[in-house]
Amino acid sequence: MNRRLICFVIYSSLLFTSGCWDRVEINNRAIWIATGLDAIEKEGIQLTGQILIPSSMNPQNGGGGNGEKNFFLISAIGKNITDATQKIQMKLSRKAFYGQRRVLLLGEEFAKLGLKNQLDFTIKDPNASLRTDAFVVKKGTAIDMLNLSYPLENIPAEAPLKEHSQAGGMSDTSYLHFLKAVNSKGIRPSLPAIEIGNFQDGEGVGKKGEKSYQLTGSAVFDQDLKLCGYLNMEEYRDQLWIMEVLKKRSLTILIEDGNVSLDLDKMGSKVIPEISRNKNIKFTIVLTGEGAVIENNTNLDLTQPKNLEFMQNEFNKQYKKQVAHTITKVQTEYGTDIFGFGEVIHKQIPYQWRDLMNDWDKKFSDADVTVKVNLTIRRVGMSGPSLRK
Amino acid sequence: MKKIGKWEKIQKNKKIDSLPSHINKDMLSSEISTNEKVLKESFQNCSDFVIRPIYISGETKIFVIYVDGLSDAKTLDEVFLKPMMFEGLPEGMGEVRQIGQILKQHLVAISQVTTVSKMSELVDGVLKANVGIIVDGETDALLAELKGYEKRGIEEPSTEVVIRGPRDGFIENLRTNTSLLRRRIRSTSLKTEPITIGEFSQTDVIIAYIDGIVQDSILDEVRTRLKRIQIDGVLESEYIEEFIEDNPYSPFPQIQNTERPDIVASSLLEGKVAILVDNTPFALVLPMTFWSGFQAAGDYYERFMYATFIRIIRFILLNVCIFFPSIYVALTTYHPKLIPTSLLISIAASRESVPFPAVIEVFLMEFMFDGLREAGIRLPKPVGSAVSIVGALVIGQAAVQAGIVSAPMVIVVATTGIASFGIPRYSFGNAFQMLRYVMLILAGCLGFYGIVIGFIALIIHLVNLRSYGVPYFSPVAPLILRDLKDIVIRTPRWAFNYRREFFAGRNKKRIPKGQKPSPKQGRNSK
Repeated sequence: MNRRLICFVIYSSLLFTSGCWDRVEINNRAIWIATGLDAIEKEGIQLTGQILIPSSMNPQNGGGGNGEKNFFLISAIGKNITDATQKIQMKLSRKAFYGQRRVLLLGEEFAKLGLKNQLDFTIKDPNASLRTDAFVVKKGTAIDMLNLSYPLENIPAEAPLKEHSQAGGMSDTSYLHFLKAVNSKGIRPSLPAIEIGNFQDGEGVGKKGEKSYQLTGSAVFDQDLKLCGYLNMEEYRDQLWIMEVLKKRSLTILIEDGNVSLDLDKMGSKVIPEISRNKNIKFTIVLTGEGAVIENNTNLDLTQPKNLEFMQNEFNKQYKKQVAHTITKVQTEYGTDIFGFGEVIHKQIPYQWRDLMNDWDKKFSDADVTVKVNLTIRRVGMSGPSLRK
Repeated sequence: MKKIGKWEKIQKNKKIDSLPSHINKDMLSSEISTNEKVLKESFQNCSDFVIRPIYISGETKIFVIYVDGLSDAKTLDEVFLKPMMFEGLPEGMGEVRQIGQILKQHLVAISQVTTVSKMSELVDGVLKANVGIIVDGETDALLAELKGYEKRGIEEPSTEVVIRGPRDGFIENLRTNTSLLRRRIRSTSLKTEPITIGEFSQTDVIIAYIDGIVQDSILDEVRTRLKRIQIDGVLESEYIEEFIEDNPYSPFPQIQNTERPDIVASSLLEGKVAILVDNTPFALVLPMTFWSGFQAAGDYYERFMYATFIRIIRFILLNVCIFFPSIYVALTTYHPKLIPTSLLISIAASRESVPFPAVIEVFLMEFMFDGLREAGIRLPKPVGSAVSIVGALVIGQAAVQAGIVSAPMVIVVATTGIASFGIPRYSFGNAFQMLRYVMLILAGCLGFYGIVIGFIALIIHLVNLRSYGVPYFSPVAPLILRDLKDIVIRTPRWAFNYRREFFAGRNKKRIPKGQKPSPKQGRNSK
């Protein structure tokens, strides 16, 4: 009994005396919610962090609505990220905590120089969250972007994240997808692109201070992880549709003198690779979708099955053209397989992939791509014929 | 074992010392004066002892012996003294020598009368509220049951309240308690074995079980463990519980206690054994399992769906009670990554001015809460409300405003407090109260890792625990599928076809199958 007691005391004292506690109270952590990376010539990179000021967000004190910014930016220049981080920590009274970082912004210049030498840090640090949405800031720098506050969101970095998920993109898994693409030969990385813009479009509106973020499409990277160009928003949506990521999309087409919009909610895609005897690669892409007509400004009465079928075909035809155009653009202008067609071959015809993978970018550019779009109109809205009739 | 032997010897020596050695004290003498002397000697300095001499026909001496306050003196007057003194012996009743027999058969108008021949039995009987009658020239004494002490009325037990269900509870009187049981189970199979425990207290203890359902091995074990007890006095069933439980070092009670006769009755029907102790309303029911810890009586008096629903809620509350504060500490100090960003920010915002680490903060608040709880039990009722107001204001508001604790912490502690009252068995809940602190220390030192270690240790302990040979975690571990019908979910009553594997002995079938009510069945039975 006595020996048991002594053992118990000794073992339980291990709990308190081991000394290697990694306990850090929340009020000793600087909650780092967004990271920005910019290129600085010669000296290397500029790391910028957006850090929240908890006391300005205290709900008991009326919470952040008093015009003060509830975050601040901190940045340092270093040879690589760890170097810059260390320099930042010298300016920070609390330990920087990356666990809640949801947004990673890459300045355009930084992306053009290539990410190959800089990304290791974000994967190796155990505290870094991989549930991160990474953006390339089109025509701008990350630090400018981080400096903006967003009127709706308490945490400004959540705004681009939510915009991205509203657009039907991969939102907080986009960085993970990017990293997967980096490590795979059959798919080239791409990231969503974001731009600083005004809240109101058009002439003469929008005060100078009221800037917003605006999703503008995607940034295409090549084999060396260098930025080689952008796709616009429609093309980005096509890309996501082909990759079976997109969950919702509105299509608008012109028919005769009117226009029709279709709101899709069940979307699917299938890529069928085919390799002929003379090593010609052919892809057939079947895109499917179901949805409702939510705006019909044509003369067609959609309660008639004949018209419905006509409209369905019209949608299929026009979007087939659009998607094919996007693919051709990527093939000819950038020549990098951001759709992951190589992965499809890898999975479905693995023995052929070994010969193809080493020069995949070129083969991708030369591949024949056929697009088929099969849309189904499930509902035509509440009232029957359109108002114009 | 050595120590007990020694103790026994001391007790024996005492007995021998206190009795004079020249006459055989234990047998009643035919000389009434000897008996009187012996009695007066043993009841020396007992001011509540009454020995009343009566002369019949001027010659035969009768002594009436009782303890004042224990026996009903008024009834004694009515049924014994008056007829004896004013009417005397009926004529033609035979010889004076057999007066005792006559007394027993004709004169003492009391239903329960026994004859004893030993002095010690007489003394015991008198101490157990009987009236003793010794007659000159007789070597037998009469013990007439005339219990007349004060007892509380039957009330609703305050520790186990039900919304629907019987509202009577046990009281401090053992006889009343057995009658409450007997009224529920009117069968000769309900056995109530008496046993007396306590060197000085001589407390009546009753082992109740249903013959034919109970598992004999458990019953035998109960008997042997009870007989083993050597104690000076038993004032509450807890005194016994500590002697007969399986693992005294476990925080979990292995014997269930209840104030409700309906719980005891239903346990008996399941094949369990109940121990009723005189002078306390709390009966012991055994064997106990972990799961009976959060089965409330009300579960069986509500329709099964709601009972199941409320049990699931209770199960969650149980987990909240033990893990919630430690999870909060682990999350905020070790793994803030796991908290949704906006929640983390509001926690961070409210913690901004708090001077203590989260662990210390929780400890402070939990300590205050437990303090309030304890004070609430002790405080006289008029003061109680004042204290609870002060407690609520001081802890709930002022402490937050002063920045000593953070608002989320108050929420955590309050939720935990509410959850701890969601466990229906008070003594079972106490175990979780204590373990909460252990978990807190582990979480404060090691984070989630510590909580997982604590959880694993807890499960290992629970799985190892036994109550009278029944695994504490059964029927979940070891898994007995048939018995899962009354654990977290409670199936309808017509589906309780079998008694629990570990409790019931020979008779495992409980109710016949196929009693599910349906329209089809109704037509057939017509």
